[in-house]
Amino acid sequence: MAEPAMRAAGFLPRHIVRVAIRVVPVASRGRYRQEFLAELHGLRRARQLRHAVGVLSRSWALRAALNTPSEAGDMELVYSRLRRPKRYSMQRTAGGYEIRDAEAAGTKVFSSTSRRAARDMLRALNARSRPHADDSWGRAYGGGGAGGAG
Amino acid sequence: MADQLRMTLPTQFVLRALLADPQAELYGVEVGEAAGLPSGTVHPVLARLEGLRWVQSRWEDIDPKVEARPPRRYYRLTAAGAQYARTALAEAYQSKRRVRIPRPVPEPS
Repeated sequence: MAEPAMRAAGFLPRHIVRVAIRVVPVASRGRYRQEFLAELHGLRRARQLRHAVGVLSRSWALRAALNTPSEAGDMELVYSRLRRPKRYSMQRTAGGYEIRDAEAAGTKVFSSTSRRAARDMLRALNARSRPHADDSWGRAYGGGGAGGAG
Repeated sequence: MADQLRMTLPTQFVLRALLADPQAELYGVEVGEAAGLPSGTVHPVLARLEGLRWVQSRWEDIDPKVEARPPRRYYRLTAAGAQYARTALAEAYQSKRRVRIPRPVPEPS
């Protein structure tokens, strides 16, 4: 059976591209949506899928390259949660588990023989070390979140 | 201007692909194929180059109904961009040569 001259973009690649586009800054979203969808046309189905997955995997790099702050609150939330640097890290040692402060040149701040205790402490320390974490949640959900003290 | 761009390997590959024919207009997939880079890698590089005005892009001027496909976005080097790209690639090659360290010779025991 002869191949059609120009293959239309399949549903799944189109869907993946649309997901990838959500990371791109709002100002450039329309342009890149059109561009990526147009590039799918003419490719074979498998190649379309590979191309769409490639676009998805590099969408954060594209966002960084465009280097414009997102205007969408929900995207800000995704960005801040995924890219938020973790200050403390846990390491396994002969005596158990140690938590070290990456910013203070790997200073040991906690040690425990219990992995669970160390993990809970790590979560607590990293949550406390994130500035403006509450702000990003508040902004994302459209509320100020200021009247919480009850 | 060249110092504003990190000359990563993908950037060098994309610039080489575009410099092969500076007048030619290529769309994303073609740039990726010419540069030998996987899908998606070229667009961040092209966005950076476009931001620096080394590259300019335009929508393909077609009738989507006639062609049965949406218009593509075509990229080409600007005149200044081609100059900067040649210089930057030469510098990247030179600096790579400069930092090459000879393998240490094992001492006789």
